[in-house]
Amino acid sequence: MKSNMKTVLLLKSLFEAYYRENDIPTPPHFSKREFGFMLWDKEGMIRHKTFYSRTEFLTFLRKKVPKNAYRSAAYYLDPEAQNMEGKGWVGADLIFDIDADHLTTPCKEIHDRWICMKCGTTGIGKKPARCLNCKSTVINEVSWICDQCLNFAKDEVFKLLDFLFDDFGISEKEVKVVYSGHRGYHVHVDNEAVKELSSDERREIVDYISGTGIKVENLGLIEVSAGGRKFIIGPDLTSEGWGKRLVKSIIKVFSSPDLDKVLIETGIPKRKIDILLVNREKVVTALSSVPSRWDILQGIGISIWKNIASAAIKKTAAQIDEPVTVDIHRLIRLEHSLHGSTGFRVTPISVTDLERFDPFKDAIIFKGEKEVIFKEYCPEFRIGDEVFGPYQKGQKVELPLSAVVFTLAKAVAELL
Amino acid sequence: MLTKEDLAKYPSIELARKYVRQLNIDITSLADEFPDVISRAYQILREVITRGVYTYLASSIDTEILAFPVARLFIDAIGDEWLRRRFAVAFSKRVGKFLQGESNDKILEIAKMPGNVSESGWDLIYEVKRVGVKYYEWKLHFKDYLSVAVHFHDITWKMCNHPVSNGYVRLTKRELARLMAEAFKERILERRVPKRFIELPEKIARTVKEIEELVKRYKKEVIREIPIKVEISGGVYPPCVQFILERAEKGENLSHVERLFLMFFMLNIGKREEEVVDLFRKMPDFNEERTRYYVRHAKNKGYTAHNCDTLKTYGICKPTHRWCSEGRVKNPLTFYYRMLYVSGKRRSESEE
Ligand SMILES: [Zn+2]
Ligand SMILES: [Zn+2]
Repeated sequence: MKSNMKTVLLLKSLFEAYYRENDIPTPPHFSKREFGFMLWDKEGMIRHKTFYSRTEFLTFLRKKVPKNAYRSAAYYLDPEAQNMEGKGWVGADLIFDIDADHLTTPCKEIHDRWICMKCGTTGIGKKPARCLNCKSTVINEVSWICDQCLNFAKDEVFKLLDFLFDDFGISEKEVKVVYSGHRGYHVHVDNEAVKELSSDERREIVDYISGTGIKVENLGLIEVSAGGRKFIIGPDLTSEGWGKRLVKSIIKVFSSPDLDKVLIETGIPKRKIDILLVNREKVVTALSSVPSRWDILQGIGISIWKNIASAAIKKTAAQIDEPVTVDIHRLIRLEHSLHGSTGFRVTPISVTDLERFDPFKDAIIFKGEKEVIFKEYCPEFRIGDEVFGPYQKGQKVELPLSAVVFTLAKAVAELL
Repeated sequence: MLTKEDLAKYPSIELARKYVRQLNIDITSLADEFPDVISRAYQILREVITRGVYTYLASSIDTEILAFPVARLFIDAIGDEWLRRRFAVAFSKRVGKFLQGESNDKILEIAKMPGNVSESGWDLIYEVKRVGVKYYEWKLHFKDYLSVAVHFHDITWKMCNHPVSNGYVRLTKRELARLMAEAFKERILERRVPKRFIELPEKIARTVKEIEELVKRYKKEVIREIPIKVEISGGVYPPCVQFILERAEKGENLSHVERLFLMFFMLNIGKREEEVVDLFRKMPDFNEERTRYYVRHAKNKGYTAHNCDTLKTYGICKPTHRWCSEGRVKNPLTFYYRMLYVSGKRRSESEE
């Protein structure tokens, strides 16, 4: 879906005004970072760009008006060098990526669409393996964003922060949450201890936070025999790390109205589920006490508890995307720049403001109105307090500038 | 306080290096003034090569401290990676054993002092905590923990399987000793002097030559320098087996579970005892007798290679092939036989 010339010109002039009227802050240690840019009229990315002064940085943004702007998480001795060996890697912030696109949310079935690149058939929801009309496998997915999926992503950010603060001992002021301007959030950790971590070490942190590779025996959940009898013992609320998280998560699951649903998904036999459902309060009390009592229910042995544990682990793990964290040379979106696919601002948020942060309001910068024509079906979306759409293909509408930019940048509409 | 005996037990630590440096020994006079040191270094290396063991001579502390840097100088002069690794592994095993018997104060001193386990020393705290049946005595900052633990392939070393709180990972005394020993090993492997910068006086050069001959002979007779035949099967091995084989070929240390898995798998697909033993010859701690015993035992018992699910829990599963990631095989053996069938079919088709 190519945008027409007029559309590109409008978007570019709006971006240009934004960069002219705002003094975009430079990221910390900016002279040791590599920058990357995508322009409106050229394919591909300009990489290995560096700035020696703030003025140079601002002038570049105002003159080139990038469609997308990036900077490295890493610091280099010579960020300008054309290859990684030459750059001299010194260290990198620890970055986490939470992308709504990779989370399972019910809204996707409503607002995501697919288009067969062979016959043009379209459909709603996740793309099928083969086109329903011509059986082609070349299908493009057109993903959308809404309050629901971005809130799901925000929930994952909160889970991640809990790990960083409690388990990793990282302080609030060392953490920066950034709304990516599109589908998700980045969390930056700027702390001496993490700066020099290797790729493998970062992967291990991802595994920790996503609960990959946990063996519950190692958290202390085991069966022991004493005096000819078998007992189940396990972690409690005074345990640390995943042991404590496991107990907390099971208590939460057993206190929730969805308990039956969670238990059915684990594949535990029906009659065992019945025992657990009848005794839900007893379980909550037994696991909340210190030391915890895992041995309270007749017929619920260690293997059932292990089943419950793996479901509880999934619930409390944060769903982060491994590649961004592990790639220590990665370019990430420049804070305060504009996202070329939405026109939204890449917005840093303090941890205390995160709860209140509303991407469809707080990342919006354009004011005024303009008429557009929709060249594709456009699902409902919200900007500020106003809900727009859905719009049909061919429909002409006058919209506030932020909504215009969003629909143009998402390439579902163009200027008349 | 560390004593001189401690320097002999841990001759790679910074204090021992300082001690040796202030003796101001000239390499040219080494052979004349300290013949004991030269012969002790030779003895250490001989035992490392033939038995994979770094012995300890408590009777002569000075010689013991000095023999360590001399042995390393010999290794640098020979420039053989297998020897370097075998030396580092043997030394690390000895360190691990000593550390387990040390007082908490001594462990703290060794770990925290810059230059011993890492450039800046470890952020380590003594603090007792009981979790279920496990008795944790130490907590180590996660950055120090990760710097070593990522080298272990066993799942129990994953950080999520340890109590972690406020930036620290809890460890038992045994676990800490193991981590420190591994750090000692890594430090030895990191620091090396390129061969071309080493000039040895005649007498020492002769000793080095002898060690070099020993290495050659050992490699010929025991390791037999057989390249592990990964290619003979033309990519029919599942990715998990392939990965282990590649590491075995490089002489990397395999975890206990990885060794058992490789052993069972190879026996299951009909490899002979001899062939299976050969796969382990490059292990830095290879011991022919012990390996042969394990292989024979596994063969007699008829153990089957682990299921994919089990391998997953050990972190051994490497689902890079479609069949694995799509869950189409439940055991690596299925992968092997299916691939053998498919590639056999493909081959006969192309011959037609
Ligand atoms: Zn089609
Ligand atoms: Zn949504």
